[in-house]
Amino acid sequence: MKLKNIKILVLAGLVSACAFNDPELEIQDTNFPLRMEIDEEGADLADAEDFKIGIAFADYIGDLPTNEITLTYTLEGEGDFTGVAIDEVVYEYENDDDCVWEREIAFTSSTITIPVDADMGTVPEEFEIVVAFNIGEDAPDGGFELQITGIQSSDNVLFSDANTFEYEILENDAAGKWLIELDESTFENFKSVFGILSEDLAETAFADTEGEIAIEFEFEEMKFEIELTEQEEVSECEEGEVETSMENLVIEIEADYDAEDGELVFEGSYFDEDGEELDFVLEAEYVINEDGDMEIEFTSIIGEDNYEDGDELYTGSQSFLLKKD
Amino acid sequence: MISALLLTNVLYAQEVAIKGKITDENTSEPLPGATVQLENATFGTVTDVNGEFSLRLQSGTHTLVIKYLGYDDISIVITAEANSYIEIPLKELKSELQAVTILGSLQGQQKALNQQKNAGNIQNIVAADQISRFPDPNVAEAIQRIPGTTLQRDQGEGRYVIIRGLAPQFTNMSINGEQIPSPEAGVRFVALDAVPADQLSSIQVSKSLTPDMDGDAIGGSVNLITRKAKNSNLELQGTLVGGYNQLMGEPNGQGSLLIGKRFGENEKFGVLVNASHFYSDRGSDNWERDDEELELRDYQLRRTRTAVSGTMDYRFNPNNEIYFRGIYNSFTDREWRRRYVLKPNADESPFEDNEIEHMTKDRFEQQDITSLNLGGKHYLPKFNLDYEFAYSRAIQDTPFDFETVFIAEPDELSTDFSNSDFPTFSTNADFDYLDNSNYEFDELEAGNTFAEDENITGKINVGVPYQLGGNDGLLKFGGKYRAKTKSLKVINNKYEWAGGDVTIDGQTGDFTGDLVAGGLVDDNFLDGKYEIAAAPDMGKVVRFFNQNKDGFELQTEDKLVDEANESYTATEDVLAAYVMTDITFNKLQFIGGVRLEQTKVEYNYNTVYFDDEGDLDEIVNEDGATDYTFILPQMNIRYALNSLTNVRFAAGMSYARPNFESIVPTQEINIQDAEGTIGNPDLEPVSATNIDFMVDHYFGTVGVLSGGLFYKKLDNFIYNRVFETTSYEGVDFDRDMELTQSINGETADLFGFEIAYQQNLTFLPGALAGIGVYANYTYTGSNATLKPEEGSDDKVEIDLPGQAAHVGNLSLSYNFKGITARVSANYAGAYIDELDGDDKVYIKERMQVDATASYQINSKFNVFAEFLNITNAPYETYLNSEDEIIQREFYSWWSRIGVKFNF
Repeated sequence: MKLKNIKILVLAGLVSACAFNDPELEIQDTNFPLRMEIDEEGADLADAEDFKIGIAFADYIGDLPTNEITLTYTLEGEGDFTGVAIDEVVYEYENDDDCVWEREIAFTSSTITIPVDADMGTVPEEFEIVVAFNIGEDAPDGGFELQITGIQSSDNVLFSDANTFEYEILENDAAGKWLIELDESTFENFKSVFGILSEDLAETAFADTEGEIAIEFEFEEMKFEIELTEQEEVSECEEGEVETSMENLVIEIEADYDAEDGELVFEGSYFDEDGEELDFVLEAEYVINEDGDMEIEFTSIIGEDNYEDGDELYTGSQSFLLKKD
Repeated sequence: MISALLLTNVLYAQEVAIKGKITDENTSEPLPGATVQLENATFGTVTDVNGEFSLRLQSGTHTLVIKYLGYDDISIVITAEANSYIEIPLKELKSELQAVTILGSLQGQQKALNQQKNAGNIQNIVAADQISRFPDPNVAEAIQRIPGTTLQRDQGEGRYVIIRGLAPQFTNMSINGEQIPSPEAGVRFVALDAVPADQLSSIQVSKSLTPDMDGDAIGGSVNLITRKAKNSNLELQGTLVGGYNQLMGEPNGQGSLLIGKRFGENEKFGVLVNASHFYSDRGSDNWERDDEELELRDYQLRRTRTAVSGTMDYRFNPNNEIYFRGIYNSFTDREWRRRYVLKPNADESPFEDNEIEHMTKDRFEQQDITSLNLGGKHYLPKFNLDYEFAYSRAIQDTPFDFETVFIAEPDELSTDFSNSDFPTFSTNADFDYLDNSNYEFDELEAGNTFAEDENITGKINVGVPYQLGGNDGLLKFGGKYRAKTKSLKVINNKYEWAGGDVTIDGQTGDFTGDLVAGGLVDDNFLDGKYEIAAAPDMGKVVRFFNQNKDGFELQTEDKLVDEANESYTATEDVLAAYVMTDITFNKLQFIGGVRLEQTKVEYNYNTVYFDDEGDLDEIVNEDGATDYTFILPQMNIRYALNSLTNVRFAAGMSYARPNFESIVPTQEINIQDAEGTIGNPDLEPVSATNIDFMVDHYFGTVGVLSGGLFYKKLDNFIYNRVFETTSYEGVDFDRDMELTQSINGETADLFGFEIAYQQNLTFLPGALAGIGVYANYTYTGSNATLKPEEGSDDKVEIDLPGQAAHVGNLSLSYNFKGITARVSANYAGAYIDELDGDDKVYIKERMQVDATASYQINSKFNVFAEFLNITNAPYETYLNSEDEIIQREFYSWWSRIGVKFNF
């Protein structure tokens, strides 16, 4: 064997005996960029006149950019939504005294320029694009799509790969606002179902309420609101002006929902007696009667720790009439 | 007071200090542990690890008697003059060993046993050439051959040493007598697989302490001694080894080279450099159980060990020398871990799904230990003086630690553990768990950590000779100061996919596992019991990440919480002082005294607070401190029934400092998994009272039969307790969390006996004279009382965690005409590894069988072959009883062949 071959062999041996101290590929994640995100879906009732689409920075560490950011976009409607256009782009500035100012962001037919707010010293953390429909109330059809097609920034900022918002008309028959008119018996029945999910409700007497429950089904989310007679002083500061008023306390129960073929499924979370937050699933059946009201019957609630037969949080057949608001 | 009395008896005669060295006549190898006595007197000494001795004698002529196991006793007349240096060669007992060819193969035993026999305390020695008799590539594995030691293993390789059933933090680890810091974050103990065995001249395991030794060594004290140049002949030693790992079908290799020489007039200046490198491509196949969950883990590893050590010493004259020693060890571990985690929705909860996680981990870890010692030894007419300044640093650098998870949700998934050897699982028929397109991307973790531990130490020892009733003694006192800083920095980035469909290699769709699968696929995983598919290929995942950062969402809260919780810095100042005497009354040697050690610890850490929703609320940087002082009396008595038999008794106190991660109130909290680990600033150090009784008888050729009893009483022993809570120290977790915390138990008694026998059966006729036996067995029992659980008065008694009842070695060897063959078995019984509420996790008993064979070609060359883990002994753990196995990990066998040269 020639000396050269021996050298090559020795060298190969040494190399093969080395530590594998490099990754197959270096990850490029030092100074991970800030990322802007857009709501991906939204829907509203057929008679809605506009819709607010949120854009915000995803969770970040450090400071927001200190130079303006320009987004390019396309906005396209179909059906009755062909004429959609951005009406305004706004964000809120809140000072240390909780006073809120709404401020506008400049836009064109293809760009939105996010400014550096003089008070914040940075671009706003989030803003809303208000898209106006101007389509009238006669059974509109179609939807629209807003896509962020590019971002220009001298800072380390990206726009999410999921860059498109899609709007559709909220068409399920539960959608909208409803009211349950309460008497003592109805309230106690309601409490027997929902008192399990809300300690505040369980401790409330009918006499403490304003006598009705407001229910609103929006896009994938709904809530019950029980207005109480007890009031509290609320101060609000908008555009530098402080307004103080007395407002009724409200008990809220929120959940995600799915309504299909007369069946409603609510999913949310509640706190058990130990203060632990647990998930629940509530099932109900409903029909819309001739008067356009909803007759709803709650049949079961199961919890994360209470789902086996006989161990459910609630089983029964409490029914309520929800009047269209 | 005793010391003061002794001081009054100090007599100074017209003495001269002489120094000498005992060597092998043929090889000029130094002989450590030889007794050097004045004829017809009890006065004498024992040679040190370099074969050297010092004596103070009246000037004039004296007769010295030298005794060394395996060698002829000799008497030699010397003339004691100031600064004289004598080298005394000894002749081997050739007549008794003529049936076998020695050529150095027994020298290791000789050296070890001579040192052991003549040591004032109870200790075991593993000499360098003894290490090579066993196929032990790292220090931990070499130590396992010593009676009463077991190992905690990682990937089949010994890593941490357990002495007499006490967990690794109870053992003090030193290099050249100075504690080495731990490269690992949070702990004190050192992973000894970081140190190649061939860097050392010997390993000294002391099971009883003397006051001049560090007192934080309840289990024992392990001292790794590096080499030193012997004489003016150029010493050139080396090894070249190649091997094969059966499981991975990959090679391993090792090379080492030692060069040493003394220079100048009277060989005043010595230089020795020793370098070695080892690499191994290893792996393991493993399954693990957690309740109804089953994990299949396929490991692939590249490990390297690189070390360089050197010693420079300068003898001004035979009685005064200074030295500089250094050692640098670098251990690297590249690990690819590919696994399936099968999580059946066993309770059929509508809130949960069946899940199978398909994961790949890719990380590199480097542990470096550097130790530098600068010191001097002076053997002066009226006193001895030695001093040392030491700097040591250990780091654990993990520059990248990636893990990616893809998840499938089959409609049906069940696991079956009725076969405790190999559990089974099943899914719905139309779901194929091997089809990577069923797995959707869940997350990518990309982190790095850097742990650092640095010691700066200064120490001084003074020895004053004295006579008491015609008996010679040494009064010794000294002090030591050590400043330690330890820190951990953590970067932990976790990314989830927030984008839409992905396009990889022209395929567009959901971000599923098939788009990034690749890498090694083990087609005989766990001997073909399970089938596994290609796992996510980290290179492809990272490439996709780099190109699509706009689709990944950094989990900022997880990052802030993890990094704040785990990072900390700490300092520890230790001040120690001692006074002791070493005196021999005829056949009785007494070493006793007292040591004081004061420890002050300060630390800085973060506390993370969560709001009512369980989200990050605030991170607060905080400081803490603790201090403690121990006064540790020590006593060792050795009574020589005759020149070959000792009766020993030792009693003393020692302690163990808590690990840093145990006292610093840092938290490793995983809200998502509802579990975590938290520190305990109220944790007390463990204190212990130790009693040993031992009889050791040595055979005139080479061998020993020894037996002993030991007892330890531990106060405040430390164990891990697992408990459930929703909050801790003002931190509200907003859910039930299972937290693990180190706490003090009440007391623990540990007792046992050990017996050891080793002998070369040279008295047998003919070829049978080549048979050798090396056997030891240790029984350890313990009784530990845990603290009652909250709301209960019931005290629970258990075996001490880490304590195995039965530990032993059996090795049979055969030497004949230059050929040595050996089969060795190492057995470690079951022991508790962890307490989890009322549950106990045990490491199951394990016996590893290895074989070696070597042939001494001539005095310069030796070829050898080694086979390790011949029976493919698995690492197994079980929960409460052996019926409930929760882990089985297999490594298969590996082998090496090589050549050693010694010029």
